[in-house]
Parts: sequence; C-alpha cells; structure tokens
Amino acid sequence: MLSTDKQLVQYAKKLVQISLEEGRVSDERVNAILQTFAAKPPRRLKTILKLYLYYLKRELRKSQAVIEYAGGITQDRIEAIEKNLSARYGRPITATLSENPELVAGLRVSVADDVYDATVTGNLNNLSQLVN
Amino acid sequence: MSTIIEQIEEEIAKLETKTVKENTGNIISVADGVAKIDGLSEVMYNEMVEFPGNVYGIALNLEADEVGTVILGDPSHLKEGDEVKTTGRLLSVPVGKALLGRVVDAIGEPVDGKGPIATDEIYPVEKIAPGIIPRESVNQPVQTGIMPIDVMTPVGRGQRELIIGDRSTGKTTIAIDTIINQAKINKQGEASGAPDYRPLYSIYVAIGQKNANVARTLGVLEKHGALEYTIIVTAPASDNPANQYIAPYSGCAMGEWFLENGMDALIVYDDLSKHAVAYRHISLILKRPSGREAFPGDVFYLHARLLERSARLNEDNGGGSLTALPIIETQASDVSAYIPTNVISITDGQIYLEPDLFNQGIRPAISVGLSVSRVGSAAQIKAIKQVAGKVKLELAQFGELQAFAQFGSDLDARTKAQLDRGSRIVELFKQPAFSPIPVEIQLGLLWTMQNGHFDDIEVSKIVAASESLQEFLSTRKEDLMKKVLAEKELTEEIEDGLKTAIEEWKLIFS
Repeated sequence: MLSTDKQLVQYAKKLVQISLEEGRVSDERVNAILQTFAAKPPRRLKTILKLYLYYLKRELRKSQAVIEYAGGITQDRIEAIEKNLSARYGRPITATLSENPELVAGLRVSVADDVYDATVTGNLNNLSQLVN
Repeated sequence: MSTIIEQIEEEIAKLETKTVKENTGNIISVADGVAKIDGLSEVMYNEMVEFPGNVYGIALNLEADEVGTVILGDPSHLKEGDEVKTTGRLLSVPVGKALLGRVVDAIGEPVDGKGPIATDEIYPVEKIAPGIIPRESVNQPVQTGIMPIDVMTPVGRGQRELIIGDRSTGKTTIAIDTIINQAKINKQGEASGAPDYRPLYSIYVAIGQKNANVARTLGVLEKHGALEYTIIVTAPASDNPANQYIAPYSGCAMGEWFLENGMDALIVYDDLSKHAVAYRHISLILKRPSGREAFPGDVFYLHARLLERSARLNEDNGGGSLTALPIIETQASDVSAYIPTNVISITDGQIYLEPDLFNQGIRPAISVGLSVSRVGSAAQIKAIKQVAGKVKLELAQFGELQAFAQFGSDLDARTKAQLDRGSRIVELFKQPAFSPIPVEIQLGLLWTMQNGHFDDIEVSKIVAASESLQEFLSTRKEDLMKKVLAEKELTEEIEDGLKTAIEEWKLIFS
C-alpha cells in the first residue's frame, strides 16, 4: 500500500520533476538522486523511494508507447507511429514492441492512460457491445 | 467469376481500419461497492466507466492520483490491477411508455421476468432541472383520493409534497393510494374519450426496502389495476449502495420523459432517508469529509437537485408535469433531524403522519397542524374550494378545544358544537387503505358534513354513515356525480340535487 502522507507525496513528485531533462527522465539525474540518498539518507527513506518509483514509472509511461501487434510489423511503421505520437503528445515518445497473437490482426498502441486500438479483436468486442 | 472477385477486392479496399481511442486505468482497490482507480486521466465527473465483465461504475471522486468510482452491479469478480475504461457517456436509462407495467432495477434493466423492454430512447440519469422560463405555476390538481389530503393539503401537478412520519404510520399507503387513484381516473378518462383528457402516469421508486415490501406493493398495484400505468424502480436493501444512490435519479429520468413529451407523471421516492444513508455510505468509503450525523456536505444538494427536476412546464414547452411525492422516515417523531429538515425546506409542503393518531385508529394519521401545502387552493377544483374552506380551521380549533375540554365538563353550547363538529370531521376523514375516494364523492361527503346533515348521527356511526353515503352517491346518484365532475363547481342546481339525494339517503340509512 502506497503512503498517502501528503508531504511525502509532494516530496516524491518534486524528485520526479528534478529527474526530468527536456521533458524526459534522465538516467544521470536519477542516479544522482539515488547517490545523494545513499550518502545522506533522509527519514522514511523506504517510503520516499517507493513513492519516487511509483511516480517515476508513471512519468516513464508518458514517454513510452507499447505497440502490441499480431502478424508482424515493419520498422518504417514503428518509426511512423513514434513520430505521430511524439507530435500528438508534444514530447518525444519511444516505442517498445510486444507480440500478442490474441489480437488476431492489427495494432494496439498504449501511451500512458491512452489506448489506440485497431485490432480485429478490439473491433469484434466493440461490435458485440453494440449488438448487446 | 472474375467480376465477382474484382467486386470483393473493391469492397475490401473500401474497408477502413477503424482506430478506437480509449482512456484506461487500473483498479487499485475495491471495497464495499467502491473502486479506486489509477489512471483514467481524461475521465469526467459522473462519467460512466467500464469494468471487465460488462460491469459499469460512475466516477465520483476525481483526485490528483486516483479516481473514486461507485460500482453498479456485482463487483465480486473485480480485482486489483483490472483494466477500467472511460466510456464518454453519462449513465443513462431506458425511458418511454414501454416501461409502464414493468419492474426495473436502478439502471433500467427489467427484474420482473417479463423479458426485455422494447424502447430505443434513453435519458441520462443526471440532468439539470428545467429553468425559470419554461415553467408554469402549479394549478392543476393531482387527486390523491385521500379526503384529508385533497381537502386540506391539496397536491398539484408539478408540486413536490413530502410525506413524512415514523415507521409504520402509513406513508407508503398514501403514495400507493394516490397511484391507484390515478389509475382509476385514467381508466375513466380513457373510457370517456374526452380529447383533452391527460392521463397521469406513476413511477414508484423503492430505495433500500425489503424485497417482500416491494412484492407486496407490486401485488396491490396489480390487484387494483394500477400497474399498467406505473413503472416500479427498485433498489432493495440487498442491492449495493451505488444502486440505491442512483435509483431515484433513474426513476426521475423516466418521469422526465413524460414531462418533456407533454404528459403528466407522478413519482414517489420511497424513501429518501434510506437514499441519504446509501449516499453517506458511499461518501464515507470515498473518504469525503463528513459533517452532521456523518452525512457529507453535499447531502442537501443530493436531494435538492433531484426534487428540483419535478416541475410543470408551460404550454410553449409542451405543458407536461412531473409531480414528486418524496417520503421521509423520522426517528421518534423528530422532524428536526438533519435529513427531514433538509427535505422539508426543499419541498412545497409536507403531509405529516402522527404515530399517536395512527395508534388511536385515525387512519390516515394526518396531523392537521403540521401538514401544509404551499400550493394551497390553487390546486383544487372550485367545488372542493367551496366546501373545504373552513375544514382545516375547524379541525385545528377542534384539536385545541379537545385538549382544553379534558380539564372541565362545563362547556358552553358553542364550544360543544365545535367539539361535536370536529369529532365528526375526524371520523369522516377516516379511510381504509387502498380505497381512494373519487373527488365528486368527496364533495358530496363534505357538503353533507358542512350543511349539518351528519349532526344527528352519532359520532361512532359516522364511518358507517360515510361508507353508506359513498355507496349511495356512486350507485344511485351517478348522474348527479357526473354533473359535479363535469361542472367542477357547486351550482345552485347541484346543491339542490345534493339536498334531495341526502334526504333520500337518510331515509335508507336510518
């Protein structure tokens, strides 16, 4: 269970802000924060780190697109998707691939909370909801 | 063959791959019908969200890191990490005449085993009430068929009249009587073929009640032929609090369909005390700050926004109406508790039922002093106004004199006459459950009382006399009663007719 202590939540969110460089999470900055904590651990370090991890993951999800596909995908298409999403969200977005045969055919792209579904399974699900 | 293949290829080429954008989140926790969700960054307040397994919820708490939703339906299969989607829709329920005669749950799904409901129209459960411009003042009566109400605290079409009292004092009976009376009037109106006749449909919303009670109500309505004009919305005590919270709004949406389509409807919320308790339950689990009696700060708005949706629209807007009869259950007759005072201040009057009167056998146990209708005589037909003018005053004086008379036996003739008249009116107003009296018969009874024709009948025999007179007027003086109903005014001719009829009846009764 994540802590709901308002001060700690604010502190963790601030750390995430510091970890960003040009809108993206910087490995160097994150390392620097962790080193600082190692040298001078604050009170309730474990809780702070848990919160930091939670908000950092959330931030990372914003700049990562997960492309689920079935039946193959070309590199050109991946690049086109990255370009399109980066333009849409106004921040650089990189894609990771995941093969999912359950989709039958097509693509499903997830960026943070948004899901773009152009799969046969998705269309069939929508159709069945309309029928019901 | 090649042409067919070309055609198919063309069709395939025309097909576009449709991309659907969804905003999603994941369940953090589920407890007591409330789910907390991480994500759903684009969710809107009151938006319907979709859980796995065709279960829906409503987003009620939009916080920085999570969304609090109430789950409508069975949450037993939901678990942490399950995906939740926004739908972009407000919770809506089916509406229309196809729902008449049916029993539905809080989201409009039939629960009476009579199959699906054939309607295409849906209305959102939460809607802003009509503004000032489309409204018209309340001036048409809703005949409840209950004499003390129609005479002393008349209800008009578009009014909100609260029925308040302790448990087992006859609150639901008043509402059911009113529904039965509407069905009777509707049947008469339809049989008469009058082109300007406007039927009044009913919606009965049972919130947090025992299923046995709902079944009994259903049975009574069916027995009296009122179910065909009634929609029953039920969120019983065993239902989750979210359904109990949403049920009155769903019922109201069904009523609004009649209102907006130029028809008249009556909605009974039975009861809003349990509704407030269900909302308190949800609010406490959502960790909203609690106030007096642990209710959240917006509990007044909860009922105000619901009851404000009852209105009478002007002719330019179809002239429809939605009349509300909310019910509140008090604890130990305490009308100054939080929820009762809230609803009293929202509504246009209240019918207060006193346990003492109920226990004395005065049923309906309406307290004359504490019951009021802020619409007043504007919602009465002229004939009733002509005979009912002084009744409330006489009964109020009777109450005071009765208390005073207990201290001494020497009373002057005038006081004695007032006491006699009062006790006779009390007896006249006694009425068994589920037997509404038509307005023309009410007029006949009251006219008889006001003109002293009951004075020579013993007080203990007034109930029997009233029953006998009702039967006499409805069976032997049908033409006169029809005339009363048509003219809606006490003309000299009608008064003469009544005088003759009473003289005739007295010969039979004595």
